[in-house]
Formats: sequence, structure tokens, C-alpha cells
Amino acid sequence: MRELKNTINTFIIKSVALSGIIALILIFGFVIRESIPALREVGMEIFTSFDWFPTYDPPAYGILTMLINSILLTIFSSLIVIPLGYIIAFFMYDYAGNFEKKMMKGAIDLLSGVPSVIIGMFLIIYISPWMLEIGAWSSENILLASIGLTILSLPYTASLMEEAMSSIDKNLKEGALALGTTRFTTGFKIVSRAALSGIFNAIILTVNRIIGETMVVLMAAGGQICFLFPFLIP
Amino acid sequence: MKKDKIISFIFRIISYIIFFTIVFIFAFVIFDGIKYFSIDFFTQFPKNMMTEGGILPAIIGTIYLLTTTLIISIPFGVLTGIFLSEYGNNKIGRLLDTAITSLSGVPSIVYGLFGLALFSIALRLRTSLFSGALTLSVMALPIISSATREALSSVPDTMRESAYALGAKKTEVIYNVLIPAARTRIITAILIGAGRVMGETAPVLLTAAVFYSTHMPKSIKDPIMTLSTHIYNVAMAYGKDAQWMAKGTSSFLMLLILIIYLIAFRIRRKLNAK
Repeated sequence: MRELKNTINTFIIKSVALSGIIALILIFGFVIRESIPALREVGMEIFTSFDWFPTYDPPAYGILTMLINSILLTIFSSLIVIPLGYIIAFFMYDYAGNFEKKMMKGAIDLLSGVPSVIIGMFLIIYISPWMLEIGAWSSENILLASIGLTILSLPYTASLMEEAMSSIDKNLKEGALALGTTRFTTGFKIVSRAALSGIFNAIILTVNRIIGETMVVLMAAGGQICFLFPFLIP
Repeated sequence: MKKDKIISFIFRIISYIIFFTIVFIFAFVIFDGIKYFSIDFFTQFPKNMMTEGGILPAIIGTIYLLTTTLIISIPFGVLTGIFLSEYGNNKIGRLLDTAITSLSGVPSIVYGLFGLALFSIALRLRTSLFSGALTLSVMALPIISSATREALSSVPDTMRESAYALGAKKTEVIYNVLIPAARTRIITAILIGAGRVMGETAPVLLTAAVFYSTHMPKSIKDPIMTLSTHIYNVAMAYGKDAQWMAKGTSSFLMLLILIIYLIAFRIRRKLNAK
């Protein structure tokens, strides 16, 4: 009887676990299957053309503009988020007092779960009227989206980087300090170098999050398809 | 040494400015919205092009969606975690591990399109509570299962071995020894997953949400409104008169999520203190 129960339970666990793999395969399968007709019909034009007029006759389906815009927006936001995140992580790791560290870490943990739609709402209702006043062309632009992405991903980046730095052996830091190096040199040259893989991991996860973020960009950057320089154009 | 002091000062200033700006923004969203709270706000349907009334259908929709999602994703997530931790030392385990890690990196809009293609169109569930819940379950699966796996791995091996020495079968060990030992961690993970699911907009927008519903969802085949999609719709599509509703709803959603997270972190801190 117990033997049978064990077998059944094992079977249940294994079969359910396989559903994870199946889910992933289904996701890729579906996304690819749904996109094949589009690719076949339009051909390479999708990646090489700047024209996006899906309702015209004949329609044009170039997504190059969007591709470039996503890349630009991602690079621009990452350039803000990563150094700032590193500075905050460094501060929390090295200089912050016990109370400061506890407070910041607690708040950052809480804030990393804020839904993006709230940030989008904040931008569109509070910030964008103000931006119109200082001379933006429209209420939705890439600068706004960048601000939103920064607010959204900073807590996440900082806490990941801080974790990476904290996981380094304390002896390393103490040894360096004992040799008479300053705290900044220790943190910057020794601990950060030792934690490099963790920090890189944090960077990749951040960039991944920024690329995949939909709501903030949808709400704050507008749907206008054109080149985004200067930054205040939608 | 002097250089160190200066850098320390600069870093402290930068950190404080950014930190307090971000905290201020969220505090502002909460407190600016709280003043719109009233009994009507929580018990009425939206009226007059969203300029009057309340958010009752959105609240109910969120609760239904969250419950359905958790009912589906908890068993799947926990069992997958058990498999990864206890049976995962082979090819399938490694494959599953890769699959779960990649799933957790997929952007939410892709989950939304996936749900739209598979559940709403291919399985003919249309725009419904059920197809939204299934989509969100796929999303919550990696969160719950990787946390369960970590929780189980952190149970000391001596407990496992003592149980085996008493003659327990493998699944008996798992269900009677490991799961109770790892329970609080798993609950924390589920709470965090619930917070994520609650705030998710893009997949719900594509699979489950309607702009405006005049009646309560009667079955799992009905479309729903949720708090997050309601915020999106009101903020984007209505004029100045309706903005108070977006503010109020955001404030409410934010409070709900903060409460869930606070409970989760409180549990986790208690666990670490032990």
C-alpha cells in the first residue's frame, strides 16, 4: 500500500514538473508559429524597412524604426540606471551605517515590487503636464519613458548589485583594509572586482527588464513611429 | 584618507537624493490618492464616463483573478519545485531548470501574446477570467517553483537522512518532513508571486480584461476588470474629470501590494532571526 502510494506520488510530481518544460516549448512554439505567416508574407522587409503603415494599401510592415527605438531607449535608460544603481549599492555596502542600510534595504525590497502601471499612471498624470509647460512637443515622449524605466528598475538593480557585493568573502575586504588601502579603493578595486560576475549578472537582468517592460513605455512614450532625436519628440 | 571622505560624502548625497526621490514619488502616489477614498468608491460601479462612482467591479475582478491564478499555480509551482530539488539530478532536471530560468526572464507582454494565442484563440476561451488566470499562472510558475526549490535545498540533509533511516519512503519524506520544514519560505514566495500577479497589466489587458463591465463576472468564462487595467484605461483614455479615479485606484492597488509584501518580508525576517 505504501509502495503504491509512493509510486503514485512520484508519478504526480514528475508529470507536473514536465508541464514546465511543455509550457516553455509551447510559448516558443506559439510565438514562432504565429509569426511565421507574417514573415513569409512580408519577407525580409520587416527588418530592413522604416515604413510602418499597416492600414495603408498596399500595407508596409517595417519594424526597423521600432527596433532601433527600443535599442536606443534601452541604452539610454541603462546608462542612467546602471551607474546610479552601482553607486547606491556601493554606498549600502560600504559607507552606510547599520540603520541607514536596514532602512534602505527594506524600502528597496518593498519598492522592487511596485507594478509598472502605477509608474505609468504617475508619469502621465503628474509629470507630463509639467513637461508640456517646459517645452516638450507632446505629452508623451522618450524622456518620460526613460524616467519611468529608471524609477522602475533602480531599486531592482541596486538590490541585486548589493547582494552580489555582500556575497564576497569578508576576509578579502578586511585584508585590504588592514594593508592600509582606503575604503573606496577597497570597495572599488577589490570587492567590486571579486564580485564582477555578480554585478554583470545584475546588469544583464536589469537590461532584460528594461527591454521587456511594456506598460511604462506604452503609457509614457506614445505610439508615434519616428526617430527619437531630440529626446522630447514622442 | 581625505579623498575617501570626499567620495564617501558624494556617494552618500547621491544615494540619499535618489532614494528619497523614489520613496517620495511612491508616497506621493499613495497619499494623493487616499483623499478620494470613500465608501462609494469601494462599493459602486463607475458611472458617467468614469467620472463618478467607484471601482467595485475592478476590486472583485482582481480578487477573482488572483484566487484563480493561485489555485492553478500553487500546486504546479510547488510540485515543480519539489521535482527540481529532489529528483532534479538528471537530464530532465537540468532541462527543466533551464526552462524555468528562461521562463522567469520572458517579458510579460510575451506572456500576454502567448496567452492570447493559446488560451484565448486556440482553446476558444476568448477574453475571460479563466484565460487570464492561466496566462498569469504560467508567469507565476517560475517564481514559486524556484523559491520552493531553494527552500527545500536549504533543509539540512540530516533531517532527510533520519527520516530515511526510520524507513520512510521518498514521497513520505517529502510530504511529511521537508514540506513542513520549508513551509514558511514557500508561503513567502507565494505571497511575493501574488503581489506580482496582482500588479501585472499587459497580460491581463490582452487576455482577460474589458474596458468596462456593467455586471459582476458570473462564471470563469466572463471577462473582468482588474485594478491595474482599470488604472491603465482611465489614465490613458479619459479626460481630466476621470483622473481622480486613476489616482485613487493606483493608491489602493499600491497599498494592497505593499501590505502583501510587508507580510512576506515580516515572515522572512522572523525566519532569518530564528
